[in-house]
Amino acid sequence: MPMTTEPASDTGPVVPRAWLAPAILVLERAPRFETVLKSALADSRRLIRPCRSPGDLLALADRMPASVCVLDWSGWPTELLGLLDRLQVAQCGARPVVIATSELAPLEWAAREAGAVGFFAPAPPDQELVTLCERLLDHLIGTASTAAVAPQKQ
Amino acid sequence: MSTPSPATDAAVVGPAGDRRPHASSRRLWGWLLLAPAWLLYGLLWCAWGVGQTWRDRYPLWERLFHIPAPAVSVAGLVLWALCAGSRHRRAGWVAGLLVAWPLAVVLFHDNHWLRPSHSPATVNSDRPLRLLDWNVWHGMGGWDRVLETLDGERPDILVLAEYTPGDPDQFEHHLESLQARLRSWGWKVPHTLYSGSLLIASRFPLTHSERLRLHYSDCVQVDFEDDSGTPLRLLAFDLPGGLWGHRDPLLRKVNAIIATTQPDLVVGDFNAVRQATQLQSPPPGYRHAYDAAGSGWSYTWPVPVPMLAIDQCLIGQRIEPVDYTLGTGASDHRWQRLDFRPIRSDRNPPPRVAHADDD
Repeated sequence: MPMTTEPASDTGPVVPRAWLAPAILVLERAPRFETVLKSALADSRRLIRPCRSPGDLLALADRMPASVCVLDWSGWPTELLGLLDRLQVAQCGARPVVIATSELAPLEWAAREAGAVGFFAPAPPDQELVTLCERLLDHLIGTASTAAVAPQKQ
Repeated sequence: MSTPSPATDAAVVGPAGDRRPHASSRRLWGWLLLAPAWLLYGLLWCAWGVGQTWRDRYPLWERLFHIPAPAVSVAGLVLWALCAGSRHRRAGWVAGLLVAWPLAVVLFHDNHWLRPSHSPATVNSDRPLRLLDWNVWHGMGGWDRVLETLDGERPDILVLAEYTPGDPDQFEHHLESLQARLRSWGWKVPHTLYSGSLLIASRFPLTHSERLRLHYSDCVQVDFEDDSGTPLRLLAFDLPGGLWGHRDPLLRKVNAIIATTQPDLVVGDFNAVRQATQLQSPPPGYRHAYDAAGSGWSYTWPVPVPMLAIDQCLIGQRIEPVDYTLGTGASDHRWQRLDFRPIRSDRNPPPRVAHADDD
């Protein structure tokens, strides 16, 4: 596993940090999309990680650069746009897929301009969600290479 | 005053004398018909000529610049035919000389008739991607017919302008039927995006989408990743209608947006002719898809007699054009279809990251 170092800070020593390979991170109140994704991608090498809170997801997205983040907007209606902004600021290459309700559909552009790669209102058919997540990870997960790499900070 | 000779009398009252007054009266009537036609054509030709000379530099001349050359050519040819028919040879020659300029513009400047040959920039032999851009005229030609046309083309990336199918409920219903159609083409996930009157649909995930500010216009920037992971950036425009406004300042802004955002493809209903000063000199690295890979009648509006090329498709340096075709469907605009291959850049390969389980 390649190791990188955090930039030196005034408050503490330099901490070695490991980057993990991208995964599908699912943020939802009750397990639904996680179940769908896990059952559909059970045979693949893709890792599906549920997140309990936006903070949890941010931490994981930072450790697993270029991950696909499936975000259920109805679970965190007031926090999701902020979360998308923070994912953009973090420059961890996360690819957020937002799943909203029909009432939240008018906010599609707000979500997209905050970095959402996919936006569905209402939720898409299960197979479409699986296909999209697979597709978004396909270009990132190589079969030949063995090392994870850090995201390119812009 | 001399008295008429018998021979002259014979000429006046004889068969020849019968013809002459008849012929001269016919010439007179001919001139009475031709004079207004000449007056109208003279005015039209002068206005068009002034427009071509001053082009779109000033608002007043820009209105004249939008007089379509095919209309001036056809009017001139009709006048020439009238002159030839009424045996006004000299007038016919003048009409022929006048019509030569607009006709040359139509035949040799605005359109070219042989498809430009190009050497492939890449060894990429993948199936070319297909982009279709169409102003669907608010569905006034019939949505079913619009969908039929789309069915025939089956693009990978679809840009529709003036896509306004009724109230929100009708819109939702229509969008669903469009998405069902996209799925029937084999699109696993139809990625659709709607802004103002612009609809963008893609077979590929939209990795980034942004609305750009441009007065009274819809302007959307979308980033894709094709199946091989090659990033693509599309800029779609729907600029305000009406050719009577001064468009040069707006087109300067459009060029500035293109230069800043560096898209690979720029498409849309510009409502500005391809011959406009700003569109004749697009930002460095960009060219018209028609010039690069198209041929034939390049005008796109108004169907059924398109005489102005106001729908544009510009391509950047990372695009290898394969084919550019214009077609007619259920709208007052012709659709434009570009088949292309993205040129993969080795300098910016798509990031490849291994899975944690690999080792």
